[in-house]
Amino acid sequence: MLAEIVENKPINKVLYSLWVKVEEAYKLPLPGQFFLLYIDNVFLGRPLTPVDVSKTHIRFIYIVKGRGTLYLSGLTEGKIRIEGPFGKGIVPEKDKILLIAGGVGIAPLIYLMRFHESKHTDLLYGVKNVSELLSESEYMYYLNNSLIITEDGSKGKKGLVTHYIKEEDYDEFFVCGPLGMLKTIQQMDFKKPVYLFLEDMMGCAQGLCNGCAVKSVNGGYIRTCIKGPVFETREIIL
Amino acid sequence: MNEEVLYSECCGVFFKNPVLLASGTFGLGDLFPDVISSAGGFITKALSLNPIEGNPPPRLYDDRCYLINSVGLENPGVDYFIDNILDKIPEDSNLIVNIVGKTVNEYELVAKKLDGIERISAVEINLSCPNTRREIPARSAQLTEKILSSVRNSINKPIWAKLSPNYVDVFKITQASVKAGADAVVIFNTFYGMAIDVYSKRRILGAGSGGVSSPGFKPFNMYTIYEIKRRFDISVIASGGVRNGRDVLEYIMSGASLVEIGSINLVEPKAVFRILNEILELIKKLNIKNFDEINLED
Ligand SMILES: Cc1cc2nc3c(=O)[nH]c(=O)nc-3n(C[C@H](O)[C@H](O)[C@H](O)COP(=O)(O)OP(=O)(O)OC[C@H]3O[C@@H](n4cnc5c(N)ncnc54)[C@H](O)[C@@H]3O)c2cc1C
Ligand SMILES: Cc1cc2nc3c(=O)[nH]c(=O)nc-3n(C[C@H](O)[C@H](O)[C@H](O)COP(=O)(O)O)c2cc1C
Repeated sequence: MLAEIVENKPINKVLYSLWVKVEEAYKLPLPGQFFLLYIDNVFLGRPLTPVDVSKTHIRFIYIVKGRGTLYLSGLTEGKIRIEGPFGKGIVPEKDKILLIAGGVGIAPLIYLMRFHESKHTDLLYGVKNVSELLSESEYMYYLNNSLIITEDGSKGKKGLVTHYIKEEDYDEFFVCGPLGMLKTIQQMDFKKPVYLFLEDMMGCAQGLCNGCAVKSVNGGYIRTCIKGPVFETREIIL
Repeated sequence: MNEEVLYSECCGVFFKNPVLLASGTFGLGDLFPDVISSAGGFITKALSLNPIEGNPPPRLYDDRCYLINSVGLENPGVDYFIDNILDKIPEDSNLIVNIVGKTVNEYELVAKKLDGIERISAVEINLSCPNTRREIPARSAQLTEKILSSVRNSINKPIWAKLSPNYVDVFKITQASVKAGADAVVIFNTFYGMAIDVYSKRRILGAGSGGVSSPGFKPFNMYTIYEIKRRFDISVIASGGVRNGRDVLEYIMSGASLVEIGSINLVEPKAVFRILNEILELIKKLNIKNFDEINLED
């Protein structure tokens, strides 16, 4: 479907906020589901998760990672092709949940918070430096507690998010961030459900090409696009 | 789509239109039944005797004008396909099964398992996958002939030899294919290629290299098809770089009987609908009554 770029601007040193207006009816996504954005200078669609949606608008928060997102960050108006939502979504079911975000990994977790508004939601949010933080006003409304952790101590606690997780306080965990962080959390071997949001490269996103492979604990690879992109940590090998 | 003007024929098999969904770009056939039904035919991902795990990620790299894939022939094996997938594939379109083997014998064994299945219209022999560690069979005329002969001697279905553009004299390979009794050659599978990340000074794809597909290869393929048709009496099926209906007609005018669409499916799974409409519009403009009429002027 075609969408009109309504706003696309930096909101801090690394993050961009993109609002698009969708020109036809589309299926509202569940948390974890994603859209593909077709950007002129690359062939495949680039996956982004919504942070906010309405019947007519979708908002994304993204970082410039490579060629596609760099090009995207330069667009301020015009139309862009968007398809989706793709992937399997996940809605939190337990009472007390902890969201663990690294960097732009906050994006899908902000969208997930809305689906848990009436229950207890805490957030651990880690970035390298205070300049990369998303403003608290973007998400505090949905939360009970949040803890900011910066690697250099420029705001909040100093260090890595993985040092601040208290397993005993929660029923379920939702994690999105860089691969190293996901791996560390996987190794912590929690007894409770831990859902990892993968952000690797996508191909067709619809199960056709086997381009987005992730190792399954049952041997072989599975397709992130249709089996994920959210996996319980015991399902996959990172 | 069922429009008489699009009716096509290849190796004695009827196709309601000349557009096929290329191997590896449309899964095993259990997704998008409406698209498969509309295409002239659907070609499965490569199937092997035993399951193949495939290459480590990342498996794809792209740019504006090309895609590199190194899926590494991941597939659940031919038996799984026959037992669990076959019945889910729409029956109103031709089914072509793409097969691959580690040895000559494996090609033969896989082909034999398919020969008795009535609804399979043809077997496409993948002699050209560039993203495994093994040598591409279609780089050797001898090996090509050996594989195709052994399949030819063990099955009755039409066999299509999918050839490689990589560092070969394709006319020698075509000759070997004709000699072995192949019914058609498919021109071409992907080109060797790799991608580099200048910041980390590393190769990006998990397997190091992969197969490149691109509209930029279309002119080379068209010329190759034209020359093969001039030199040999064999059907040719085109594969490479199709984005729209005009590309399909260009391939047909170059001498192809059928045309595969591959990478475009990854960004537009319903591309076949658009492409068929574009072909129809174009042949109306050109006042073409049926596909047999399409010949190049001298
Ligand atoms: C389901 C899902 C949801 C996502 N949601 C978001 C989101 O909400 N916000 C967000 O910011 N991002 C998100 N991402 C990540 C985002 O899609 C990528 O950052 C984006 O696709 C990168 O595209 P690009 O063209 O800018 O980068 P590219 O130029 O394509 O570069 C990135 C890719 O190139 C290769 N590559 C480049 N450099 C290296 C290197 N140094 N070493 C190894 N390989 C390298 C890798 O294959 C890598 O994936 C999501 C990803 C997925 C799968
Ligand atoms: C992701 C991907 C997977 C592929 N897998 C196979 C395969 O299993 N067997 C095969 O013969 N060709 C395979 N191919 C090659 C295509 O069938 C096709 O010949 C090639 O991509 C050129 O056509 P295109 O330019 O339309 O993509 C694959 C291509 C892609 C992009």
